Amino acid sequence: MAGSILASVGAELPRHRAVLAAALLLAALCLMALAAPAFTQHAPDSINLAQAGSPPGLDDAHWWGTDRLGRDVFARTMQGLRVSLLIGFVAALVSVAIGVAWGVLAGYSGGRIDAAMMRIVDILYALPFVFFVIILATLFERGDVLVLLAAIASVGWLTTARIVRGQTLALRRREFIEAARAMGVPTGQILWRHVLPNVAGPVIAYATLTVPQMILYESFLSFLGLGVQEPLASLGSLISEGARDMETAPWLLLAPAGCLTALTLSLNVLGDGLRDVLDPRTRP
Amino acid sequence: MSSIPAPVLELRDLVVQFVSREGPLVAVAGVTLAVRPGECVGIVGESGAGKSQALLAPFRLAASAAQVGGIAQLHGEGLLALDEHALDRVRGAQVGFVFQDPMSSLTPHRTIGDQIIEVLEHHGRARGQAARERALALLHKVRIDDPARRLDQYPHELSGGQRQRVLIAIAVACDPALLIADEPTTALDVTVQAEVLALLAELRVERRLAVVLVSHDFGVVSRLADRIFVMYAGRVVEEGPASVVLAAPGHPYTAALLACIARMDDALDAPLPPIPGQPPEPRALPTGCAFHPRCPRAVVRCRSESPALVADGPRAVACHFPLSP
Amino acid sequence: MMRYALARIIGLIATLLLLVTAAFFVIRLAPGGPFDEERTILPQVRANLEAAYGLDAPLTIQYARYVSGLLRGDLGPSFKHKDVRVSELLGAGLPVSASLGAAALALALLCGVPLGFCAALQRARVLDHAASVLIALMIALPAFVLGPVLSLVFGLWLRWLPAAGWNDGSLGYAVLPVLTLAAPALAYSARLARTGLLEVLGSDYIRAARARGLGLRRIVVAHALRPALLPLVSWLGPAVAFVLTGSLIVETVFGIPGAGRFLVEGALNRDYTLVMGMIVVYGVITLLCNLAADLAYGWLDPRVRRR
Repeated sequence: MAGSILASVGAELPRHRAVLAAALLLAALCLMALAAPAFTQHAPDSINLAQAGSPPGLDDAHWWGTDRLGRDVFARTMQGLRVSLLIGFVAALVSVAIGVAWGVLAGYSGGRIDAAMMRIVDILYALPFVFFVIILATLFERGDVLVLLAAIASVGWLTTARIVRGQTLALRRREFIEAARAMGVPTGQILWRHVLPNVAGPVIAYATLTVPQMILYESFLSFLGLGVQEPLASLGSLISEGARDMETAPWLLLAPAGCLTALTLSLNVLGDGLRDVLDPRTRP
Repeated sequence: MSSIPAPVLELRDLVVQFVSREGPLVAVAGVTLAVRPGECVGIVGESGAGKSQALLAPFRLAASAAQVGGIAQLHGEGLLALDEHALDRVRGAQVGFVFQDPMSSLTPHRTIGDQIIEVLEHHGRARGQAARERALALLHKVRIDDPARRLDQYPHELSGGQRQRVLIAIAVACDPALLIADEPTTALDVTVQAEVLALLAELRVERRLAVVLVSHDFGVVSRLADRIFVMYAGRVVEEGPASVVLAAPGHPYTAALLACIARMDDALDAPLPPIPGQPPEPRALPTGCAFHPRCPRAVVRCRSESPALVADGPRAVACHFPLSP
Repeated sequence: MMRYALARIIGLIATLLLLVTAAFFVIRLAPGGPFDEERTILPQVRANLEAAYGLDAPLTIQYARYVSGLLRGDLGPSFKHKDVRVSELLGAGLPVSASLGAAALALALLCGVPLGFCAALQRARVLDHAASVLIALMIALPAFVLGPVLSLVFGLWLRWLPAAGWNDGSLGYAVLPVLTLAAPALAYSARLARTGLLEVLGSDYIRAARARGLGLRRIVVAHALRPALLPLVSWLGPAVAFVLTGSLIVETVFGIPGAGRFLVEGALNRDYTLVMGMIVVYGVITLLCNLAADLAYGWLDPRVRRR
C-alpha cells in the first residue's frame, strides 16, 4: 500500500508544475531554517543595543537588519520558522491521529454511534472553536508549549475525521472486510491491517493540508500574545512585534510575514496537489 | 419499394476520437448508417464498442475532448460544421434524446412540469397556460398515472420508470423527427423495461418517428428494431434487417451475442458471460480482425488482415469467414 | 419544511446549552480567580467581594444561577470592570464587530462567488489560472499578515487610507479592515463556487439539459447555479465562525473598538462573566447563521425538505 501511494505520487505529481515548485520552496524553507545557525554568526537572542534598528544590508552580516534590541532579524526569523514548523508538524500529527481514530471508529461502528459521533463533529465545526483554544491557552501557564500544542491540535482533527469516516464507511461494505469479519478476525486487527492502510492515501494528503492550518493557529495565538513567549519566538510573535514597529522598521514585519506566507502557500499547494492524486473522491 | 423516403439521420464514415496525454484514442473508426422516418435502427455491442459515441458525438453530447470526422447529416444538412448555437436549435427540437439513467437525468431542484414547459417555451412551441396544457397532455401520452399532480412534483418523488417516461415526454415534446435512445431501459426493472419499450414503439408508429435504439442487450433491440447494426471495437461488424440478423447471424460475434440471450431464455441461472475474454482496449487493438482473440473460428488470416464490411444479400458482414445461413 | 425547521431550532437550543455548560466549567478549571491580582486587598474584603459576586457558592449553584440569568437575558456583572454589566460592555462593542463582520462576509460572497463561477466557466483558460493563483495566495495570507502589510503599504507608505482606527465605520477607515477580513473568506467562497459549478456541469442532468437544446446561459442559470451553490451554503455556518475569529485579529491590528478584545482580555483577567458573555453571544450568532444556512440548503435542494 505504501508502495502504491509512492508510485501514484511519483507518477502524477511531476505533471503539476505548481506542486513541484511548492515542494521545492518548502524544502528550501526547511533547509534554511535548520541550517541557518551554521551560516550566520549571530545568535537569535544576542542583544546589541548599539546596532538597534539597523535596516537590512551587508553591514556586520545583519542581512535582514536588526530589531529594537539589536537582535539579528535573520537569526530571529529562522528561529521563529523552526518553532513554527515544529509546532505545526507536531500539532498536525496529533490532530491527524485524533481525526483518524475518531473517523475510523465512527465509520466502522456505523449506525447510531456513527451518527452521534459525526453530529459532534458537525457541532464543533459550526462553533467559533478558536474561542476554546484561546481559553485553553490562557488557562494554564502562558507560553507552555505543551498546552499550546494541545490547544491547537484540538481544532485540527475535524476535517480528517470526516474524510476518514467516509472512507471507512465505504470500506466496511467491501468484500475483503466482510470476509475478514465473517472469518472472525478481531476488530482491532481488521482496523489495523485492512482499514488503516486503505485510508492512508487521503490521510497523507489532508495531513499535509493540516500542517499550515496548525501553523496559522499557532501564529494566531502568538500574535495575540497567547502563544510562545520571549525570548523564544515564532513567526506569529515576530509578526506581532514587527507590526508594532512597522512605521520605522518595516523589515521587522516583512521578514517573518514573508516567511510565513511562503510556508503556508507552499504547504497548501503541495497538499492540494497530493489530494488530487491520493483522494479517490477528487480523482477525475 | 417505389419511393424510399430520404433518411432523417445519415452517418458516413464517422470517426470519433478522444485526444489525451497518451495520444489519440479512437472510439469510433468509420461508421456508416442511415435512419428513415418511422424506422427503428438498433445498435448493439458491448460497452466500449463505441455505439453511444457514434450517435452522441455528432450532436456534441460526448465528452468535450471528442473530435469527430466524416459526415453526419440531419435531413441532408451537415451537423459537424454547426456551432453550439445552431446545434441548440437541433437538439431537443429536431432530435430528442433519452439517456440511460433516469435517476440522474432530471434537474433535481425543478419540478417535472417546469422542465417540460421549459423545453416547449425555449423552442417556441407554446407559452404559459398553453405550454402547461401541452405538458399535461404529454404526461398523459407517456401514460404516467395522475399526471396533473406529477406536474408539480420534484424528480425525487417519482420512481425510475416514471422518470424515464418523463424524460421520453421531454424528448418528444417538440415533435422531433428523430429519437436517440441510449440504453433507455438498462437502469429499469424488467417489467418496467417492457412498458417503456412498448411506449417507444407506440410513439414511433404514431408520429412516424425515426428511432435509434442503442443497447448492449439484443433482447431489448430485437423488440423494436427494423434494422440492426452490431458494433465491435469502434466498427460495424454486421448490419442487416432485424429478421435476417436475428434468425441467421453472419458474424461470429453476433452469433455469440445471440447465443447469450438464447441461453438466458432457457435457464435464468445459466452462467452469464457467454463470450470468452474481454472487449479489447481501444489503445491496444489486436491486429487484423479485432475480434480474432475471442473468435472460435479465427485462423492466421484473421490475425493479419482486417476484414471489410461486405454486402451479402440484404445484410453486410465484416468477417473473412461469415457463418453461412 | 416546518417540522424540519422546528427540529433544527430545538437542536440549536440543545447545542447552545451544551456550549454554555462546557464553557462554564472549562473556564473555572483554570487556576486563579478574578481578584487575584489585587494583592493589596484584605482577605476579608476579598471574601466580601467573592460573596457579592456569588463566587463563594458551590460551582453547580453558580452554574444554575448563571443559566437562569441567561434565560432572563442577563449576562451578569463584569468582574473586572467595576459596576458595569457584561451586556453593557458587549452592547458597545458588538455593533462595531457585527458591521465589520457583515461587511466582510458580504464582500467575500459578492466577489468570491462570481469569481468562482467565472473561473469554472472559463475552465483551464487565463481567467481560471489567474483566479487559482489569487485564491491560493489569499488563503495562505492570514489576517495578521495581510492586515499589517495593507496598513503599512496603503496607510503609511502610499497614504491613501488611514492606517488604523475606525471613526465610527466611515468608509475610508473601513476599507482596509474589511478587505483584510474578507480576503480569506473570499478565496474560500470562490474556490467552493468554482468546484461546485464544475462538478454540477459534469453531471448527467446537465448533459440531459444540453440534449434538450437549452443553450449555455439557460442551462447555467436555470439548471446549474442552484445545485452549484450547495457546498457554498453548507460552508456558510463555518464561514461565520471563521469571520468572527478573524475579527479578533483585525480589531487588534487596526485598533477597532469592537467586542473581540473582550475575549482575550476577559480570559487573561479571569473575568468569567465577560468571557462567558462573549461565548454565548458569538455562539448564538454562529448557530443562528448555521440554522439560516441549513434552511437555505433545504430551499436549494428539494430532496432535503422531506427529511
